[in-house]
Amino acid sequence: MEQSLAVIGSHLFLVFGLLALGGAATMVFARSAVHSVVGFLFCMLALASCYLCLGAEFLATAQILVYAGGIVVLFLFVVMIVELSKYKEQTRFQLHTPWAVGLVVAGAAAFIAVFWQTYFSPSAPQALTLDPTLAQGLDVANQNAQAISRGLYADFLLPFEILSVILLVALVGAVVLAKAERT
Amino acid sequence: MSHYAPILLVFLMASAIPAVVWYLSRLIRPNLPNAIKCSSYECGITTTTEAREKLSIRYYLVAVMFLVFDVETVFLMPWAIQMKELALFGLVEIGVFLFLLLLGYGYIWSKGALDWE
Amino acid sequence: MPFAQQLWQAMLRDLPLISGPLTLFFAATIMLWPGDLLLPSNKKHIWAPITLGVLAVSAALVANTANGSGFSSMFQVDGFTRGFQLLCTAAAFITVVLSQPQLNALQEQTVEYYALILFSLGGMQLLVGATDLVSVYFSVELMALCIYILVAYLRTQERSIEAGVKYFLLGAFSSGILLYGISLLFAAGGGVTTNLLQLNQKLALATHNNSLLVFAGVLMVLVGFAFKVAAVPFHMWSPDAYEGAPTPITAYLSMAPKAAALAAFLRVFGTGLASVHSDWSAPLGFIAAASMILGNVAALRQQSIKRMLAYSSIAHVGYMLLGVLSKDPLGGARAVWLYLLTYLLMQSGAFAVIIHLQGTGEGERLDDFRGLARRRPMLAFAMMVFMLSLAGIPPLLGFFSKFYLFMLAIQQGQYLLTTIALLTSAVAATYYLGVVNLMYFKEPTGVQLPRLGTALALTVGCTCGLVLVGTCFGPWLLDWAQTITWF
Repeated sequence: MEQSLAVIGSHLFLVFGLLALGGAATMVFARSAVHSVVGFLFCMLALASCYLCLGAEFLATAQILVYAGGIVVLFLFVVMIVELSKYKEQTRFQLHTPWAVGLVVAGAAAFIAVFWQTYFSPSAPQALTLDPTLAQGLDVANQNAQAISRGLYADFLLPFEILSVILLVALVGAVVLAKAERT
Repeated sequence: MSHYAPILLVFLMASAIPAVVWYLSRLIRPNLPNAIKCSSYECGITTTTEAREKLSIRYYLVAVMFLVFDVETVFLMPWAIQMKELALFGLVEIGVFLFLLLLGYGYIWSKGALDWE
Repeated sequence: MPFAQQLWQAMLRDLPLISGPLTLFFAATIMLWPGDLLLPSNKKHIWAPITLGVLAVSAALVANTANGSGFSSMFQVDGFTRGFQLLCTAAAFITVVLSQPQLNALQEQTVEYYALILFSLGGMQLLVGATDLVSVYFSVELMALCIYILVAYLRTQERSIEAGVKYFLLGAFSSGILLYGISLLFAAGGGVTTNLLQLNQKLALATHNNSLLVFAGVLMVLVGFAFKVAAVPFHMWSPDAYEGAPTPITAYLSMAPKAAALAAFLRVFGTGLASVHSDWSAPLGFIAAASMILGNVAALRQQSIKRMLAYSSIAHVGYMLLGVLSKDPLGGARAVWLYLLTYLLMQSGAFAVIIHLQGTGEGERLDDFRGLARRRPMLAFAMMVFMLSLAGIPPLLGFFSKFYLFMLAIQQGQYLLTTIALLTSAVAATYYLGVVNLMYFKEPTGVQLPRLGTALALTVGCTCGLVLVGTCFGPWLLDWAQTITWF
C-alpha cells in the first residue's frame, strides 16, 4: 500500500507539473487577458499541488493563499483598470517574438544541460536536505512545517523582520502612487 | 504522503460529479438553439458594450492593501505551529512584525486610503 | 537551557549591531504614523530638519558600533560595513538637502518622501553588512522597493511614471534572476547553507557533477548584481530612470544604492564566491569592459545632462568593477570605497548645480549651460571643477582615487582592462570638457539666474573645496581607506 502510494505520488508530481506548464502556456498565448489570468490561476494551483507532492505543506498553503488568492486578484484588477481593448489590434510587441522564442529555447537548453550534468553524470548527486541543525529534535521529513517555522523564526529572524518593513513600504508605496490627492 | 490520499479521493470525486452531470444532461436534453438561448446568461437589460472599461485606480489601492495583509496572515501560520516552543521570544518577534503593520494600518487610515471618497 | 531562552539571549546580544538601521526604521515608522497626523498641514516643511537629525543620529550610532557578527551569522559589523554605511548615510543626507528647492517649488513636502529615503537607507545599511545570501536578498529588495517608489514620485509627470515602471519591471526581473542564482548556489553547496563563508568552503569542494550548476548559479547572481549596479549589458533601465526621476532622487540613485550594491557585490564575490574566482572573472571582466566602452561612448551623444551623467555613471561602475575583479578582495574594497567617496563629492556638487538651474526651468539640457561663466562665474567654476574631477584630470580628487584604483588593477595584472579603462577615460574627458566648453566659450542664452539658496550654496562650496584640495590629504585618505577591513 505504502509503496504503491509512493509510486502514485511521484507520477502525480509529473501530472501536476504538466498541468502547471499547460496553465503557463495558456497565460502566455491566450488572446484575452482574462483567459490569461485564469491560466495563471490554474498554473499556481497546479504548482501548489506539486509542492504538496514533494511534502512541502507550508509552501503549498502559502502558494495558494498568496498567489492563487492575492496575486490573481491583483491581476484581475489590473485587467479591469487598464483598457485593454485599445491594444487588441496592435502588433508592435510581436516584432520581438522570434527573438523571444530563440532566447527561451537557448535558456531552456542551457538549463537542461546544467541539470543533466548535475543529476545524470556518472557519480550520484548529493541529497538536498533541510539543515539538520535548524530543526533540533524534529523529524524533518515528516514535520517540515514545524522545521520551517523554526528556521523562519529562530535562524532567519533578521530577514523576517526586514520583510515586515518591506510590507510596510509596499503600503506606503500604494498610498503614494495611487491615492487621489496627497495630504 | 499517504495521509493526503483521502483528499485526493475527495478532489477526484468532486471533479467527477459535475463532469458526469454535465455529460448526462447533454445526452438527455433536446438541442434546439436560437439566438436568445445562445446569448450569455444575464438578467436585466441587454448588454450594449463590453464590461472591460477603465475603472478607478481606487480598486487597485484596495487590492494592494489586501495583498499586504494577506501575506501577513501567511506568516502567522508557522508561528502558531511552534508557538509553545518559541515562547516569549516568538511572541516578541511576531509582535514586532504585527506592530509595524499595525502602524502601517494606522497610516493608511489616517491618509484616508480606506475611504471611498 | 530551553530553546526559546537561548534565542532570546542571542537576540539581545546581537541587537546593538543593527542600532543604526533600527533607528531609521523606528523614526520613519513613527513619522508616518502618528507623526504626520499630529503635525498641522502648514508645518510639513519641518520633516526635512527632522530627517536630517535622524540621519545624523543613525550615522553616529553606525560609527560607534563595535565589531561583531550576529543573527545566525547573517549580519556582520566590521570596518567594511561601517565605511560603506557611512557613505550611504552621507549620500542620503546630501539628497535631503538637495531636495528642498524642488519639493518647495512643487509643493510636494510630504512625509512619505522622507520616510522612503529613511527606509531605503535602512535597507542599504543592512545590505552592506549582510553576510548571508538570504539577508543580502531581503536587504536589496527593501532598498530597491523604496527607490522604485521614489523614482515615480512625481506621478503627475508622465516621464517620472514611465521611469518608475521601467525601473520596477526590470528590477523585479533581475531580482528573480538573482534569487534563482542563489537557489542554484544553495543546491550546489549541498543544500545546507547560504552563509557566505561556509558557502565558499562548500563550493571549493564541489564535485565535478556540480561544476556546471555552480557556474550557472554564479552567472545568475552576477547578472542580478550587474542589474543592480547598472553595468552593461544590464544597464537599459538606468538612463531612463535617471532622466525621469526627480533630480534629487537621480543624485541619490547615482550615489547611495550604487555604493550599497557595489559593497554587497564586493562582499558576496570577495568572500562567498572567492573559491570559484575563475568562474566569474571572465564574465565580470567582459561586463566591466563593456560598461566602460559603452557608457563613455553613449555619453558623447547625449543632449540631456541627466542622461549624460547616467551614462557616465555606467562607465564609472565599469571602472569600479576592476576593484571587484581584484584577486585581493580587501584591496579592491578599499579602492572602490575611496572611489565612491570621491564620486559622492563630485556627483553631489554637480547635481546641486543642476538643481539650481532647474529651479529656473533650465538645467535639464546641456544647452542650458551655455555661457554660464558670464552669468554666474562662481557656479560655472564649481561645475568646471566637478567635470574635470569626474574626467580624472590631475591634481583634482577624482584623479587621485582613479589612480589608486588603476594602480591596483595593474598590480593584479589586469593589463588589458586597465588599458581599456585608460583609453575610455580619454573619451570621457571629451564630453566632460564639452560642458566646460559650453560654459566658458559660448554665448549665454538664458535669463538672469536668481541667487543660490543657502543649502545649495553650502553643498556646492563644500564639495568644490574638498574636490579641489582633497588630493593634498591623500596620505590621510589612504590611512582612512585602511580601516576598511573584514574578518
